[in-house]
Amino acid sequence: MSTDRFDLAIIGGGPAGLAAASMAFACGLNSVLIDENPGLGGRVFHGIETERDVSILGTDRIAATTLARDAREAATVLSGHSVVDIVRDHEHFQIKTLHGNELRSASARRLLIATGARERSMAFPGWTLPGVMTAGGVQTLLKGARLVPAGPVVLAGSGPLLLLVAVQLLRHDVPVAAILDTTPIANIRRAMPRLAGALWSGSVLRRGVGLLASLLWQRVPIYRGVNTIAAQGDGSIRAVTFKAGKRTHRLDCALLATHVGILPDIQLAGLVDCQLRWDASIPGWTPVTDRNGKTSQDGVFIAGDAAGIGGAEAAPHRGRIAATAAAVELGAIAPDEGDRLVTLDRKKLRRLNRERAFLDTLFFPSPDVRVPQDDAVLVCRCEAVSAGCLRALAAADVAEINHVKSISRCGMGACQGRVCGPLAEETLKDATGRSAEAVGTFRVRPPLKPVPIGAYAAFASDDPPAEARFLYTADW
Amino acid sequence: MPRGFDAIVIGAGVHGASVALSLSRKGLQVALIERDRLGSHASGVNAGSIHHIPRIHFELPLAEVALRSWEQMNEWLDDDCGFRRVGYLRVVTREHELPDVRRSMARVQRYSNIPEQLLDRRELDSVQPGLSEDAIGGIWAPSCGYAVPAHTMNALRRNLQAAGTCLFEGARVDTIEKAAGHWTCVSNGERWSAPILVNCAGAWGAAVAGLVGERMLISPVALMMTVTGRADRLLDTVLGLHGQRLSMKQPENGTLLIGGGYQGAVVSKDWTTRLDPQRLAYNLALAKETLPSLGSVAVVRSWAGIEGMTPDHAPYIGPSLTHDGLWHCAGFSTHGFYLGPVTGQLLADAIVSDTVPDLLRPFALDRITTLGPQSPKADIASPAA
Ligand SMILES: Cc1cc2nc3c(=O)[nH]c(=O)nc-3n(C[C@H](O)[C@@H](O)[C@H](O)COP(=O)(O)OP(=O)(O)OC[C@H]3O[C@@H](n4cnc5c(N)ncnc54)[C@H](O)[C@@H]3O)c2cc1C
Ligand SMILES: Cc1cc2nc3c(=O)[nH]c(=O)nc-3n(C[C@H](O)[C@H](O)[C@H](O)COP(=O)(O)OP(=O)(O)OC[C@H]3O[C@@H](n4cnc5c(N)ncnc54)[C@H](O)[C@@H]3O)c2cc1C
Repeated sequence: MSTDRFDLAIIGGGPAGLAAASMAFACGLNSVLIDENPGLGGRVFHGIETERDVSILGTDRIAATTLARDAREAATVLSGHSVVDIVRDHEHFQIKTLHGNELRSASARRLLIATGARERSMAFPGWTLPGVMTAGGVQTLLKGARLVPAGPVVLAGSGPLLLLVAVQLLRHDVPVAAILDTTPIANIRRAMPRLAGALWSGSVLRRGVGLLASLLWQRVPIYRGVNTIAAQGDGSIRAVTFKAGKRTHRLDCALLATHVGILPDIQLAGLVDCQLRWDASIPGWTPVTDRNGKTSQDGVFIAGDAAGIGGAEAAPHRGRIAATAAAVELGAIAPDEGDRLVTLDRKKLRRLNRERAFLDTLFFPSPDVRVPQDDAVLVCRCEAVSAGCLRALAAADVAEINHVKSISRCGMGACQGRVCGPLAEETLKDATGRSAEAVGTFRVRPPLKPVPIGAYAAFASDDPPAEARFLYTADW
Repeated sequence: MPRGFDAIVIGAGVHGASVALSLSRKGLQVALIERDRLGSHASGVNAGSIHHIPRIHFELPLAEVALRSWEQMNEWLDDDCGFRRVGYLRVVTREHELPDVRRSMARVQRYSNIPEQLLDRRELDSVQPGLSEDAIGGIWAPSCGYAVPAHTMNALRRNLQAAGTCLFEGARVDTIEKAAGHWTCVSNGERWSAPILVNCAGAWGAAVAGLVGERMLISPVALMMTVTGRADRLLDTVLGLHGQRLSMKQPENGTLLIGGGYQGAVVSKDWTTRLDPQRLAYNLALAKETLPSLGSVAVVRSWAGIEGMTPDHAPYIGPSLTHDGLWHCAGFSTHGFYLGPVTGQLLADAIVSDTVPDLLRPFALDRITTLGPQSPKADIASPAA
């Protein structure tokens, strides 16, 4: 075990973390950039350092390769390191990472969390069957492992990623049987007033239109106003049934990819006790930050989608702003110098926010994709806790999520609530009519990823702690 | 106007809940007042071990009754509370400890009828295969086992409801007044009053006693626990290690629970806890050393719960030394879960009859009143140095 000391630890090598690393270097900081993937790039630019042909929604591939190359020059890069725990030790944060089967440790005076977003899960009858996965998961297979799934594929849900993955599948010659669009028709009406501003200010929308055109061109059937989705089959998925308008449909498929939007990844923020707030526009929990990404915890900054969904184009600007603020706090640069460095980033962000408002409104997930309708549907697949079980608890007035967890074991399995958390919260809110704040969110406990006991053992010192020598009646 | 009751119990851990339930079943109108949520502290997050080693001699008679009480949970709570009598195996790895092992067994025999056997290496393997080569023997106590704390606290909650106990959650008592033989507890403007007051505030026991000017020696510590993902069956008993701190078990769902009394820190500002990664690593290393096949099993979560420690690691149970109508039951010093149900029933008897039964007598408050620090002074209550 060795502990390296840095000024700044940046966790997450997506566009936010990469840009932050370069900015930190420019401000004279000695920083470390940690990411669990083998290469840099994050979610959008997954595999950018090795992949030749990456099609990107939002930002240009060349810019991303440059970002990654610069970041490698600017910081010590720890790839393949999952951050599993962080503790504050006087003036430093001790960051524990899992690298293969080994625990490592690094220490830094400031933290910049840039861990991006995670996908919201959608639970419906049959969602736990093999052959049902998230669209982001399919994309990761394509980009990272270069595994091309067998078709036919049906994609269901709402949001730009759904269309993107459809086009990417087609490009790999995977037959796409249909797209089931669950976007509530009413959202379109609500979003329209924001359309002009959005078209003018960002590129997601323009690219989205391009994707749509390409799908129509390839004659992929798109069903609108879809609900009541169910995966059919035993052993693995064979078909999907759903309602569109008044009619019920059934389509054969080998893979059902779902996507109902993304949420900020609040695992690390929760672990270091940053204050969270409920953001009704996502809807989801978001860390409380000031305009520099500074959180309620001293020395902790958050940038990129982890600080609230802002998209890939906004991420580098947010990374630069947060890194600059950290440098000011560390006394590496003067405050007015810091302001000057990020003037352009702030301007760009203001523009991008207009597009974000449109996207949030258009793709706002309807309650019936956030809350499993059928009582038999599992919310927590690790511990087999159904929606009906949660509703029964709610009826008995047990509706604070950590209380529900201790009674039902919901969220206590291997995923530790990362998959089922939002589903369980939404189900409880829906059943009780309580606010998100009253229902709460799962407390985050280390380790963030399962860590073999052997890895801890190798990390332990041989000297027993004081209490191990002081026995009397005290062990159980 | 305060709401009137026959008795007020402060603290809805396993002790407060058990006392309140027993008093309610005797026909008293009981208010059970809890700062957070029933079972949200030590009682709901502990390791659930049910065994009597290595307790101080005067606890052993009570331990014997406590071990039996878990067999009878179905009669008391209409629920088995997840109790499994899988036995407790205390492994010995160091030759020089054998005299101490014999002394410990002799002590148990002298003060109780709890069955224990000294196993040699071969017998050890038949009880628990896969132990480290260093294991030379062990104490085997077949009447011990484990229960599931969250499950137990839920069973208590249901029974309290059925017995008509008034449970007030989210109510921290911060003032206690006494007038005309009645106690009045105040929390955020709400008031309850009764002639009998029972302090079951766990690690906060000394703070609650302090509200009526009585001094108790209980200091808070944060005890750490770890749970793994599901694994193949590796462990058949509750396992401990003689002369060292270790406790592990594998409940029926296949996860492994590992602890032993390693301490994190209590942040005294708000009494939250912080883990100590170094100590946690030591705990897990010792677990793997004892049962080498654990190495590849993955940890999914560690946490800490707050426990109240007394100077001699035995709880205070009995009437107040300074006030009539006040009873204390706190400071269980890492092993109060298994004692909860039985202590609650005995204490309720004592309160109603105003006589302390022999089993509880040794825990009287005048046992020690002047040793040790009363409460953490520094910002962080550091682990026992
Ligand atoms: C599954 C998924 C797919 C997406 N696909 C696209 C897309 O194709 N196009 C698009 O425009 N937007 C996509 N997005 C949206 C995405 O969030 C972008 O807006 C953008 O990637 C955000 O950039 P970022 O730097 O904030 O985070 P990200 O790019 O998400 O980067 C975060 C990085 O942090 C790492 N990380 C997370 N936790 C840890 C940890 N504990 N230890 C170490 N490393 C950690 C992750 O592995 C990741 O590399 C996707 C989102 C998701 C969840
Ligand atoms: C990690 C861990 C593992 C353990 N393992 C074991 C084991 O394996 N076997 C075993 O037998 N024991 C074990 N123990 C010990 C056991 O859990 C405790 O001794 C027991 O639960 C104490 O119960 P209690 O009711 O006294 O206290 P608690 O459960 O702490 O309950 C006290 C309650 O009083 C409330 N309270 C405090 N102040 C006020 C106030 N002013 N107003 C209102 N309410 C108040 C608190 O909120 C709390 O809920 C363990 C403890 C821990 C922390």
